[in-house]
Amino acid sequence: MEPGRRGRRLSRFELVSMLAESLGTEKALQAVTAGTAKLGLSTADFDREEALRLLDHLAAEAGLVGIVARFAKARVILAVK
Amino acid sequence: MKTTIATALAHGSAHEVAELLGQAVREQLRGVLPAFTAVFASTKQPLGELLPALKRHVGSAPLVGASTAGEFTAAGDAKGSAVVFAVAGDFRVFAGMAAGLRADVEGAVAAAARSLPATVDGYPHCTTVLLLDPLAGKGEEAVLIAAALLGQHVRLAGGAAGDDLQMTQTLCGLDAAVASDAIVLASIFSKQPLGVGVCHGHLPISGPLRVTRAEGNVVHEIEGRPAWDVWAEQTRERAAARGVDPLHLAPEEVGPFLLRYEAGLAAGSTYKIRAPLSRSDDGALGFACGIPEGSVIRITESEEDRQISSAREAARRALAQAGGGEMAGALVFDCICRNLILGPRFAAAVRSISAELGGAPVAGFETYGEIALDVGDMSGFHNTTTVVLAFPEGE
Repeated sequence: MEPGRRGRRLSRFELVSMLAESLGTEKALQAVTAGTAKLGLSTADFDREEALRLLDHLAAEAGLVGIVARFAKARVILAVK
Repeated sequence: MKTTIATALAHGSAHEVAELLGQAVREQLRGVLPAFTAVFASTKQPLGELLPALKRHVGSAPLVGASTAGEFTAAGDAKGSAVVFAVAGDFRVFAGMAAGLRADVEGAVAAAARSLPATVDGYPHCTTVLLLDPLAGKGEEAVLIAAALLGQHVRLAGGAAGDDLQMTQTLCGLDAAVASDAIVLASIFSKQPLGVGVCHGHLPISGPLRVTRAEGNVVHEIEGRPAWDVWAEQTRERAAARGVDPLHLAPEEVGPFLLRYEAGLAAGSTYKIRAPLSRSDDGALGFACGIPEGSVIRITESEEDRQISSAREAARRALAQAGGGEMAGALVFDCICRNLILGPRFAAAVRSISAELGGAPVAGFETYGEIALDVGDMSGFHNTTTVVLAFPEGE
């Protein structure tokens, strides 16, 4: 999570990697791609609020995807202040 | 205060084993009561009988337990036995247990964690031992929820109970209470960090395969076909080299076969291994945690030498995390499939863990899933791995 002039941003790669540890890279990528399209977010990187909005969206999914997204959201909240 | 660890393995009825293990703990700890005790037992020593009987020997500190698919100490491995690991020293240990994982994983984990303190004055490090019923199918889910509830400073280590490959009922227990569909959490607060190391030795033998129909922990279809059909097709050649035909397995051979050829989820430069535990009549495969539809898996296998070296590597990682000094001993959670692969060489793998820890005593059980989640990790449920929880000797 790199600090920058516009505040700390989370790259798409970082977000996918967080989810991939439990879901595998392909499913994590699919979930992030679908989520960004649905929410109309940038596909490259996210500021804190965008990342949390995306993870909130994924957290509403049933089963492991939702649980992994909620866990990732907690980590993003702690890591990107 | 120096940390002392007792380990022992015993055969016999639950009550005979409780006497033998209790006596070993008293002798090895020289009369000091343990701060934490874990006992792991085959289906021959029903946990519901063993835990209350052993509890009388180990005092009021938490006693946790699980049913197993094999048991071991540094002296060797066994089936149909029970093993104890007891630690005495300057620790504060708190434990909780709850059932109902399958229906309400969040509620069950929250109930088990309810009585655990977040911090203990003077004991800055916390490692939580987590035991759970894998047949509930909520392995990863329970671990992530536990990690979220316990806080980001807590490391997790543990295992999923077994039942001697019967795949019918796996049990966990705390003190005198035993249940299936359950989770046990035991938070060990210490002055020095404990070390958690994890490693596996599996590599893919298939190309990428997309899960096209799944519900929770049950994978119905892969690439639009019944999951088992794809499994049998992809493993036929490798299995034939061992004289096994996946299309002609006896019912009792299906579980061991699936544990040898597990699913790998690509995650960066490595693979997260997921074990299929059961096959239904329609060819669906049941896993120990959720496998979302759309996941891409590779079927994996491991060679014996890689299984030995991965056990050693797990011990090395645990040692490094614990500071690299003298170790009092280690609690080990090792996948049953590693035993299936290694056969008689499994004992050598266990001995190599002890050797990496300077000859310290080790004890543990063969699991249906292993748990290791370090600070910052995003996943904590594993298969086909060795998890080593090392206790430094201390002052």
